[in-house]
Amino acid sequence: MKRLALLLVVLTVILSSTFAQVTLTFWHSMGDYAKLPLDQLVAEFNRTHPGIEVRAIYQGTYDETVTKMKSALLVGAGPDLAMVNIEHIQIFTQDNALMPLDNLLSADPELSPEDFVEQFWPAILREGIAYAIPFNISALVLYYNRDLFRQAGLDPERPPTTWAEMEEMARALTVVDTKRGRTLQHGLLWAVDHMFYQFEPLVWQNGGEIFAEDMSRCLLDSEIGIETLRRWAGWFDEGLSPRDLTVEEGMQSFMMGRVAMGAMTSGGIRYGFENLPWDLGVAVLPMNKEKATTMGGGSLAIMNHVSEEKRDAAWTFIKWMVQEKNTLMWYERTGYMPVKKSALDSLEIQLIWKRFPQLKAPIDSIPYARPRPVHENIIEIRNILFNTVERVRQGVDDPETAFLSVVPRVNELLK
Amino acid sequence: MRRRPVGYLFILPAGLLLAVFLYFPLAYSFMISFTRWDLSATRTFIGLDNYRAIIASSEFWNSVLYTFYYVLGVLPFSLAIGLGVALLLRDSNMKGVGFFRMIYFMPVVTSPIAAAMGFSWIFNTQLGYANYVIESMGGEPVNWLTNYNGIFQLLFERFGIQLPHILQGPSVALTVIILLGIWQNIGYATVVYLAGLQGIPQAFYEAARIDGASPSKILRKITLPLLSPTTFFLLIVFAILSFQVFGPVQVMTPQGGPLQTTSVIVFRLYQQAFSYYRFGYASAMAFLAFSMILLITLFQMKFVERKVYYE
Amino acid sequence: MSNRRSILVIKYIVLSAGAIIMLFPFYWALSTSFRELRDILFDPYSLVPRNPTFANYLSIFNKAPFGRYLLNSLIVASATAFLQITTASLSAFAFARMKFRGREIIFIVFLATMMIPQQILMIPQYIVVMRLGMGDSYAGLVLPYAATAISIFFLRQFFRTIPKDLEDAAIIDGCGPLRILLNVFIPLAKPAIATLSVFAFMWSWNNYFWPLLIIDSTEMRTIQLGLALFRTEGGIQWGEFMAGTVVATLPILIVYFIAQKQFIKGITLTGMKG
Repeated sequence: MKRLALLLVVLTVILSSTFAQVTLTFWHSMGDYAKLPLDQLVAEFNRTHPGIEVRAIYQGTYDETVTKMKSALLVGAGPDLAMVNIEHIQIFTQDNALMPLDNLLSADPELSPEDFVEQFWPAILREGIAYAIPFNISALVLYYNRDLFRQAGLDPERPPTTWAEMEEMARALTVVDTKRGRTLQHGLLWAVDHMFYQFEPLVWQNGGEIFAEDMSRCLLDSEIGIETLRRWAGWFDEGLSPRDLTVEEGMQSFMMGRVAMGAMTSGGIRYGFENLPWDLGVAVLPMNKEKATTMGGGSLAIMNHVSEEKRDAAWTFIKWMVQEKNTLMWYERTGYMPVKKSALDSLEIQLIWKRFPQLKAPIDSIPYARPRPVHENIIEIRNILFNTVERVRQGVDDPETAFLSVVPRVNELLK
Repeated sequence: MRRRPVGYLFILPAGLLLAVFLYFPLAYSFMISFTRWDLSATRTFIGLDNYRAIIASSEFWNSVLYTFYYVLGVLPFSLAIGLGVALLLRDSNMKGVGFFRMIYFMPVVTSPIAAAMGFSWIFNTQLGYANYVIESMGGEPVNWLTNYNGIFQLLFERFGIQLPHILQGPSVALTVIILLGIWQNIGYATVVYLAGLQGIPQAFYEAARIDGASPSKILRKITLPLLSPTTFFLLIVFAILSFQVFGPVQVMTPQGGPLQTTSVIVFRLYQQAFSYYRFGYASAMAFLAFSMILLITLFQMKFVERKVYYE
Repeated sequence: MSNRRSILVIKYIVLSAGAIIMLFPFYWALSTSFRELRDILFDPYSLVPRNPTFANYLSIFNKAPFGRYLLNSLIVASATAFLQITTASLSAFAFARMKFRGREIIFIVFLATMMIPQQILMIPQYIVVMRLGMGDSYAGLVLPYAATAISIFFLRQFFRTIPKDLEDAAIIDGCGPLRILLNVFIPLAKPAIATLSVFAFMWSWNNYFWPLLIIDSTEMRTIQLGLALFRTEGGIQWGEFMAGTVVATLPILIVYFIAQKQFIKGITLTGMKG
C-alpha cells in the first residue's frame, strides 16, 4: 500500500514537471446564482486542460472590479484575464491595459469574428480593433407577470408588441382603490436608473437617436427626443407606472406581484424564474416606430502585460468558454445570451426553450439589439440625462423644455 | 508637569504608522488634487482648476448644505438619547442590565450595509412597516425615499409659508437616512457614556448625597461636568464622522435620492472618483471637505473644550 | 420606597420601548434568514417565518468557504484591536499627561487624519501597501489600521480624568512613565480599554472597501467580502444575505459580551481608589 502511494507520488511529480503548469488568474463579477455555473465551467476547463489552471475569483460588482483592476494596473499587479463589462472596455483601452486580439484571431483557424452573433461583435470593438471576446451579453427585455395578466382577463401568451398595446394593457392591469384613491397594483414599471439604461431603447424605438453617429453632439433636443420624453412621463402622470417608488422599490414591488410589467435585463431571468412566487413571462420590448433594445453585460479580455505563455493559455481558455456547448450551458443557467451564431441555430437551444420558454425572448431581441453609445465622459453624461428625465418624472421640469436646456451642457462634455 | 522629551518616544509608534499609511497618502492625494488623473499612467497638472470648478458648481454647494443637514440632524439626537440610555443603564446591579446593554449595542455591531438594507425595507413606500403603522393609525402613507420636499418646508406649508431654499430642511428621503444615522449612533454613544460614567468615582456621589443634593442637582453638578470629556469626544467624533457619511446614502439611495437631495459631499466625491474616474477633481473635493471639517473641529476645540472639565 | 419602585417600573418601560425600536431591524434580519427566498418575495413583511428553514445557513457555507472568511476576519480584527490599543495607550498617555514641545499641535495633526474622506485615500494607500509587498496579506489588512486617531483621542479623554494624586504617588515611588502607564493608567482605564477593544474589533470586522481593494485570492477574503456575494445585479438572495449577516454579527456580540464583564471589574477598581 505504502509503495503504491509512493509510486503515485513519484508519477505525479514526473507528470507535472513534464506538463509545465500555467496558472491564470481570472477576475470576474458574477456573484451568487451566476457564479455557480461559471465556477463549473472553469472547473471543467481545468479538468480537460492539464497544462493550464485557471483560478476564477469573484471581485465584486462590475464597478468594483474596474476600480480594483485600475488600481492593480497602477502598481503592475492584477489578473491575467478578466471579465470586463462592454461598457468599461474603453476605460481600459485608454491606458493600453487590454491586449488587442486581432493578431490572435487572424492566426487562429478555429475562431473568427464571423463565428459570433453579428450584433454582439461591434460591442467589443474600439476603433475597429477587438479587445475582448463577447461572453455574457444581456439585452433589455420585458418581464411580465402571467398570473396578473390572467387576472385582468389578458392573454399571457400575447404580451404587448407596441407602445399603444402596452399602454392599453397597463391600464387594464392597474388596480386603483377608488375609495382611498390609492393604486394597489401598477400595470407598468419603466423606471430609468442613473445609467440612463432603460431610456435609451425608447428613443430608438421612437425612431430617434440619442447622439450623432460620431458622438459629436446629443440629439435629444429633437422633436423625437422630446416626444419620447413626453410619452414616457405620461406613463407616470397617468399612474400606470409608479411615480412614488424608487427604482429599487419598483423592482421589489414587481417581484412581489404588485407591478405587472417592466423593462429589465435578461441576465436576471433565471434568478427570477427560480425565485419569483408567480408565473414569469418574458417578451421582446414593445416597439413604436421601430424595434430596438439595448445590450449590456460583459466580455472576456486578456491583460496586455502577460507573458506569451500566459497569453496562449488565456486564449485557449476564452476559446473554450465560448464553445457552442459551453455558451449554451451558460445561457440556460443565467439568461445571458449565447454568443456564437452556431449556438443560435442549434438543436440544443430548441430544447432549452422547451424547458424554459422565458429564455427565448432575449434571442428574439437580437436582430434589434444595439450596443450602448460610448464616450470618454459617457458616465457623467448619462447621469445628467438621468437627472433631467427624473425631474420631468417628478413634475418639477416640463418635458417640452427639459432636453432643450440640458443638451448644450451634454454637448460641452462631448467635445 | 516637567518637560519630558520621552513623550516623543510614546507617540512614535503611532506616528510612524500614521506617516506611512495616512500622511503619505494624504500628501499624494493633495498633489493629485492639482491634476487631471483617471488612474492611468498619465497625469496632467492643471493648477487650481479643479478647485475653481468645484467652487463654481451649484451641485457642490447643494451637497454641502445636505451634509450640514445630516450632521445637524444626527448629532444632537445621538448625544442626548445616548446619554439618556446610558444613565438608565449605569446601575450594574439592576436586573437585566446586561441584556439591555447588549440590545442597545446591537445596531452598532450590525454591518452598516445590512442595516441600511433593513431600513430601506422598513421605509418602503408601498409595502414598508413605517407606512403600515401610519395607515393603521389612520394617517396618509408617505413616499419616504422619493419625497424631495424639505421637512421644514412641509411643516410651514400648512400655514402657507414658503421658506427660502437654505431653510427648507433635509428632504424626507434624507431624513430617513438621518434616522438610520441616529439609530446606529445611539448605541455607540451609550457604550462610550457607560465607560465614562464608570470612571466617575463613587465617592463624589456619596459626598453629594450626604449633603442632601437632589438627583437633578447631582446630574447637573457632578455627572454632566465629569462626563464632559466624554461628551466632548463624542461631539468631535460624531461631527467628523457624520460629515463624511456615505455608506447608508449609497445603499438606500444609490441614484443620489429624489432630485439628488441625498447627494452629500462624500457621495458626490465617490461618484467623481469611482464612476467618472476623475481623481483630481475628487481629491480637490476631499480637501475642501477636509478644510471644512478642520475648521469646525478647531472651533469646537477652541470654544467648547474650555467648558470641558478635566482632572 | 414605593416612589423608588415606580421610578424603576418607568425605567423598564422606557428601556423596553427603546429596545424594541433598536432590535426591530435585527429581528427582521433574523426572521428573514430563516425563510426561503420565494416565501420572502411572496410576503416580505410577515414577522414570523411560516415555514422556518435552516437552508440559508447551510447554503452559505456551501456556496463559499464562509468558515475560512470568519477565521480571516477573526485574525485580522483581533490583531487590529490589539495593535490599536497598544499604539493608542502610548500616544494617549503622552498627549494626556506628558509635556513636550508642540504637543497640542501634534495632537491636532493626528486628529486631522480622521477628517479627510477615507474614500479618497484608498488609492494612494493601496499603492503604499502594494509597494511594501503587503498586497493580499493579513499585514496589508491590519497595519493601515494599527494606529488610528479616533482611538488615541478616545483614550486621551479617559486618561485626562484620572486623578493626578495617583500619578504623583507613583512618581514618588520612583516609577518611570512606562510603569505609570502600565500600573496606574491602564488598570484604571479598563472600562475605556474594553470599550475601545470592542470598537476597534468591530471597525475592522465591518470594513468592506479596503479588503475588497487589497485582497485578490479567495482564501484571504474577509466576512464582509463574503456577504457581498449574495448581492448581485440580477437580484439579491435576501435569505442567504441575512443568514450571512447574522453569522457575521454574532462574533462581535460575543466579543462585546466578554468585554462587558471587564466593564464591571473596572467599576469596582475605580470605586475603591477614587
